[in-house]
Amino acid sequence: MAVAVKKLGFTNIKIYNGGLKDWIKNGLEVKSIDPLPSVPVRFINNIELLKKMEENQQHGCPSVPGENILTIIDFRSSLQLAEKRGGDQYRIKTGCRTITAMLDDFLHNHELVNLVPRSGLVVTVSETGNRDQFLIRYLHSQGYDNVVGLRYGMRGWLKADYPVERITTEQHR
Amino acid sequence: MKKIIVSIFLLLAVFRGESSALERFAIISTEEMQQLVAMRAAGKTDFVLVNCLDEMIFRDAFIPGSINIPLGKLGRLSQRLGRDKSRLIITYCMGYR
Repeated sequence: MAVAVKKLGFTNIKIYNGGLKDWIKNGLEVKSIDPLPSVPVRFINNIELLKKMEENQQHGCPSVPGENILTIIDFRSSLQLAEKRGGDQYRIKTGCRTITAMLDDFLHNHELVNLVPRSGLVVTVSETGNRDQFLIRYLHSQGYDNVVGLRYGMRGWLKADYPVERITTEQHR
Repeated sequence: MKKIIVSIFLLLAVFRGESSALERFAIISTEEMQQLVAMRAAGKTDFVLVNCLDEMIFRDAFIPGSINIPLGKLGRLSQRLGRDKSRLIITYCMGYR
């Protein structure tokens, strides 16, 4: 962010490296506009997800309304950044449904939220698994209790060398 | 010997590229940040505190007096930084991973 701000011509820029995490850890005051519910956030390991995908894909991963088995929400910001650069990206290869959107796209967007099935397992995928808690808590506030995060996110999935497919900028619109 | 010279040139090229790509910015500790926020509240200093997290995360919790400019939206929201290019700007995100 600091580099981008400097490119705009600003000359006096500093970075608070500890960030929100360190601020809260030190018990300092934070403000809130719309606090998300404090609910337990569950994660699934990538091996568990791979097994579930393989089990479900044997049956074609049916996604009949009301009978969804497995849905992935890929909300990596890097997809948006890559789109701007015109580059391709990779996503988890699955025959199951994948919803691709940015985290903020879900804010007050009932149309998008309603695309998330209320049955079956929904797995969120971020870059490293750090932001998943926010989407899970937000969806919980919208009545969802079937959403879990992918531990270590796409970075962990790629590191494990699990199946991915290339997506072009057109595909994730 | 030739290999060593080539290796040194390659290393220099790599480090030169990195230094031009990586900008150097002053780092503020949590203690300093706390003091700055208190001083600003008392009208003793002035700066723009930029939270670069997603809006959903910002709405959940932010350091008092922050403005939100999510990464990737700076182009659209740069007016939030004001017009004074010499004013101190402090950026923060989630923190250490």
